Amino acid sequence: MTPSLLQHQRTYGTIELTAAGAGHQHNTWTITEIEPHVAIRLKQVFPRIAKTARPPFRLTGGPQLDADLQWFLARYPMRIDTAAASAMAERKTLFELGQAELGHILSTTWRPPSVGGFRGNQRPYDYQVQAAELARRTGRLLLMDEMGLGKTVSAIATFVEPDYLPALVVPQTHLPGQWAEKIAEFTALTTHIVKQTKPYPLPPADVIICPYSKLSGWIDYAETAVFKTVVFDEIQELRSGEGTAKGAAAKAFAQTAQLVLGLSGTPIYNYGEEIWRICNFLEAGCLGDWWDFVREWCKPGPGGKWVVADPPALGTYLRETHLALRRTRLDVGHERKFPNTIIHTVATDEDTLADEAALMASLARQVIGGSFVERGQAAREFDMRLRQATGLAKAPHVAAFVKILLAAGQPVLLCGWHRDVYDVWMRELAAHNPVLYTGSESPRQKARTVEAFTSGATNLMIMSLRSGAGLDGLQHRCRTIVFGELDWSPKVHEQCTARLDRPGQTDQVDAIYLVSEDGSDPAIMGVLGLKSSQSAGIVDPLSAPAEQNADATRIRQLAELYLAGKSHLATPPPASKPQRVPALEQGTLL
Amino acid sequence: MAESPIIAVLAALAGRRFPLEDEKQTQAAMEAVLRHEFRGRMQREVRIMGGIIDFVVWPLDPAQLPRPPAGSAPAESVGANAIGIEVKIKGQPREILRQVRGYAWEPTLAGLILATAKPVPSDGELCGKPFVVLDLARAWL
Repeated sequence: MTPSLLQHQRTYGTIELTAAGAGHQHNTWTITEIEPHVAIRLKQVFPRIAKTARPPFRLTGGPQLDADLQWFLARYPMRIDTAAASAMAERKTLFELGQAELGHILSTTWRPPSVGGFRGNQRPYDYQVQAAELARRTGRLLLMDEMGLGKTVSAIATFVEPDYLPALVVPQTHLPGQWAEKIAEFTALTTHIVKQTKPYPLPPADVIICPYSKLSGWIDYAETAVFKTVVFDEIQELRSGEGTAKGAAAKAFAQTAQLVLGLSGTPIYNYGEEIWRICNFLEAGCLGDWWDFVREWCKPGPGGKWVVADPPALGTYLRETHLALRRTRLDVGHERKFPNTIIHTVATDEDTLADEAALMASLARQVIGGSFVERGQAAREFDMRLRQATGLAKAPHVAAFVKILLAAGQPVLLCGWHRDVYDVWMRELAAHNPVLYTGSESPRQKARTVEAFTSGATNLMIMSLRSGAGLDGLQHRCRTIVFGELDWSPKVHEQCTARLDRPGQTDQVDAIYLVSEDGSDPAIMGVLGLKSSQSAGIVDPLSAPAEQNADATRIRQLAELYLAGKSHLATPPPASKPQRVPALEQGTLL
Repeated sequence: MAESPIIAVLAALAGRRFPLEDEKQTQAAMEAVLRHEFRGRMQREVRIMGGIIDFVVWPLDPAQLPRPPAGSAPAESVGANAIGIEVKIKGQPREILRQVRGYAWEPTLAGLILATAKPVPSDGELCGKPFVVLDLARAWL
């Protein structure tokens, strides 16, 4: 009988180990020869090999690559020397053990190893070490812990040891200083904050901190710098993908790092499709290519966007593959109550909306009937003008509402978006000495604003919706946030609320949304609902969406006191200076 | 004073976060809540005047209300304190309102709730019956 092809020692090509890494480090394999039909199969299994590439094919990766290659070679044997074959087998075993260990790390019986590199009595929480350990084992992690759980310290615990240095931290524009302070507070690592977009010789430092706004200029530095760890803080900044200048630079740095960590409690700002772009920075192709992802996971959504059809299924997949990790305050035993959401409808000045009506109608016609370019421009302007008109029409009524809170001595964080709206608020609320924290203030002016508010010099801080991410310290002074204008992204509101709802807050935070029944608010609210639904399913797939906390009792009481002329009865005692937390507690609190 | 049936249903649904990607999923999640809150006093997909409405709920004390028969309910058997609920997460507000207006002619419905994430206006009444738009998006704030 003729033996089948599979029974004799038929080979389909040659594979060599061209660079071996120790432990979980990367190996590089080179396939020097391969038969054409097997090359087609290989490219299907390893999409990182370009369809147009010709041998030799190089593949670099951790133990998972070796495991995948061995599986492929079982079907299509190749010539391989004995030492390389046993190295591959060892790494496959390492991969399998690693998978078992990853499961163990997330189990309740896991005990964290001691973490070196932290100063004196400073220690991260066990759950922070858990995240660091998971990131180190997998080489990539999207850490989606709820805001206020100390993702910064989790990141520091990840790169604090020499094997993971030097590290690159990429934060939002206003946060490099805060990162440098935290690193200095917890470790003896040296840091350098990148000052400009144009490259210059960097001083020796363990951690380079380069904000997203300056990253693009350093793209050519990625290959020579070879940061072992790259941390993308508030990684939703990269949600537009590799097509942007900062995205291209981020990709360049991520590709050369052995560990990539993405931090965000709110990774999806808009629709579910963003998760594909974000995950691609952590591990290229982990959700397939774009069209694979869209075909398998998505369906068409509003405005030509793609929405994830089954967000919890995608969220579960990200957890199962240990690509993402999420813990809430309940998971880690924090007892802070969830914010109380109060949605209050305010009146609008019809004249303000009417003034804009003719122009808006003209723009609306262009949005529907203009050329492609005209439609885009008109849609953007229509959105901008309608939002601004809505904000202005509400502004005096928002100010009147805030006066009730201020009359009762309640410190208020008031959020908006348009400069013209701030002007109305500043004028209407001038008696309360408001301070501004928006895109127009310099970092020094912003620091003065925060100081004035936290010290009690003023009870009213007006903050831009998109300026506050990561800002710390307000929670010691204030429990009431008022949204006088809405953003298109629900996570922007969540980020603002988290300025107050974070460790150090002793009261339940009231998040008050002042919305109108006219203008852009009704449409924005509908979009916010769908976007939140997408995010909740992906980020928290294993729990049913929490019910909204909506108890307006406190605000109603304040309003009643105001009408009775007795607001002073609700005034809290004079603000005390935030107390410095002893070092030992601080390490765990953060 | 006895609670009005429409308020009783709204109290059960307000503040709940329902998925908004797919109408079937929204309806399934809402059905789970209604079944939990009103046990047997609800039916899914009931044929009434104007078409098939997503839910009919009898929210008040069953001792004081006629019980719906098992299986699909013919229009004439829908109880006197029945509240109809229509779920809509897609479509133009005008079209949605037109559809719901058709349901309002059903004589045995005591009130109507439109559960939607779309900005549909309501003046509190439709064909002389209480009509409330439950904004599903609000709960996600």
